[in-house]
Amino acid sequence: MTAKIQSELILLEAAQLRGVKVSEQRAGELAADVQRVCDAALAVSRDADFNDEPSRFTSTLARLGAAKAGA
Amino acid sequence: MSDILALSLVEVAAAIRSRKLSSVEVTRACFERIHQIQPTTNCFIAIEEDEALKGARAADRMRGKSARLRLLHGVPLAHKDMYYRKGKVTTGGSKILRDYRPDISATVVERIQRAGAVWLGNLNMAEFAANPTGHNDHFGHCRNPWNTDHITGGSSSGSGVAVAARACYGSLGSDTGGSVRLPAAANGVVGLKPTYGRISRHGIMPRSWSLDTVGPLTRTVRDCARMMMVIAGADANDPTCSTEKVPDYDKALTGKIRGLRVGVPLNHYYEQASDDVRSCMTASLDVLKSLGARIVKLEVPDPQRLFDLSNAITQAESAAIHGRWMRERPQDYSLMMLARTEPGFHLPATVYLQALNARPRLSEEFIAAVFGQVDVLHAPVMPMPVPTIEETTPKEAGDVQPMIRRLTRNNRPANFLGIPALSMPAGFSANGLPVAFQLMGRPFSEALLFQVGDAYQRVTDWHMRAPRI
Repeated sequence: MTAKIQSELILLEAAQLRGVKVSEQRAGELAADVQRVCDAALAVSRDADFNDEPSRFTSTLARLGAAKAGA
Repeated sequence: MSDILALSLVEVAAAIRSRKLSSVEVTRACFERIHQIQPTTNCFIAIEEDEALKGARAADRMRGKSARLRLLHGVPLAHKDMYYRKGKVTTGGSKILRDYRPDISATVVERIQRAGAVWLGNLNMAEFAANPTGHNDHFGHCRNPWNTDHITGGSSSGSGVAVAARACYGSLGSDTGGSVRLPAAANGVVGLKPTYGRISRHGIMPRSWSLDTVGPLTRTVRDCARMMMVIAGADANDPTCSTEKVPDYDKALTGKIRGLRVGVPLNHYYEQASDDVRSCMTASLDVLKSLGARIVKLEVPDPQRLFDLSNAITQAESAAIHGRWMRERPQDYSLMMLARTEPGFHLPATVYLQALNARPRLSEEFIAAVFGQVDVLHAPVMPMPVPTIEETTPKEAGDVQPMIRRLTRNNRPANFLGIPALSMPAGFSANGLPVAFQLMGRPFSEALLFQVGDAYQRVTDWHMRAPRI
């Protein structure tokens, strides 16, 4: 991410989007979890092609399948 | 324990077919064993004795009428409690679905029933298939038959236990991030996480649509191949189910692996590995080498990145599936389930889609880099000995993610990549609990994984060991 995810953001989202209250400690833990996943997604998105799309996944598996490898 | 229970699935099917045994005899032997182990292992959520015996009697009657008996004719099986049968309770291991009666039957249920199997009951599992330990706060924890202080692995906890303890001949589990392989490993049985789309997901309780796979747990690789022959293949009810032809998996079991290249990863999979797990891995590789396989050490594209991206998908999809109930009745979820799902509510939709969007490209890169050099990849399922229930019981929400990361670090990458992985019993750690390796391969290479696993089982006897319970 461009900036570190703060527990304040989690607290606000929990209250306003989910309607629940989480403790400050838990908000900090969630911020770290979310940060890890966001960082991973951002890193791979840098190599994404404009025409990529998720539905290519199953056809990719079929194309790379064992039958093609002659196994 | 009855001698009947020492037979494998394939052997008992042959004995029923040739009338050496009746399905009723075999089913009764299973129930005797179930009643013996249930109080200590808690591996069943529901036992269906009357109905199963009725099914067994029907199977025996049919032997006289039909010359062409089916692949699982009269064979008693039990399954993770997440496979829908129209009108029958399917709990998903949860309090919320305790009385849920689906109005459809799963495609795989219809297929095993058409193949003639007897349904013994529904097996314990992690709540909503969402923890890798086998803890269940609603139905009681499932306990490892090798030592009941230890976890069973999850989420297909009851499947691993029932098969290991010889209470049934095979079981359907499901694997979204290790949920077949972990209980297979922790209980000393075989477990297959198939290629994504190889088996229909229609009519199974969802955990994470993009990663969920159905997988069998059995004592032998040959049994696993038999179950796959029955359940794999296209299904118009599941748009993600592949139309790729299902090979004759039995024919792949040649016992020969000479010249096959077995990859051993130099990065990720052995980090945090204990000495006893390492030594079981080395011993298993020596066996494969003695059979003529070539061992190739190689660096694999960063599995940690794949692990984190799989979390983006599971967390977002699980939060979407459980969002309403988690708002309206959070008290009906366990701490483990709540804590595991919670980050998903805070992930931007773009992050979820970026992870999904990267999947075809990263799978292609991984498969080219790894399976361009080797035929199968060999790695520990769990890098550490099977822990105790106490060691893995979270005290607070913050304990959950680190514990899950430790247990599933070697499993989730295969789910993200969509590739098959076969968990194989490979010995015991110093604490007396089973250790396992997994074989991963190209998409749709289940036959090759069976070939290697079966060759290994022909010269080892880890799969013949049964817990004394």
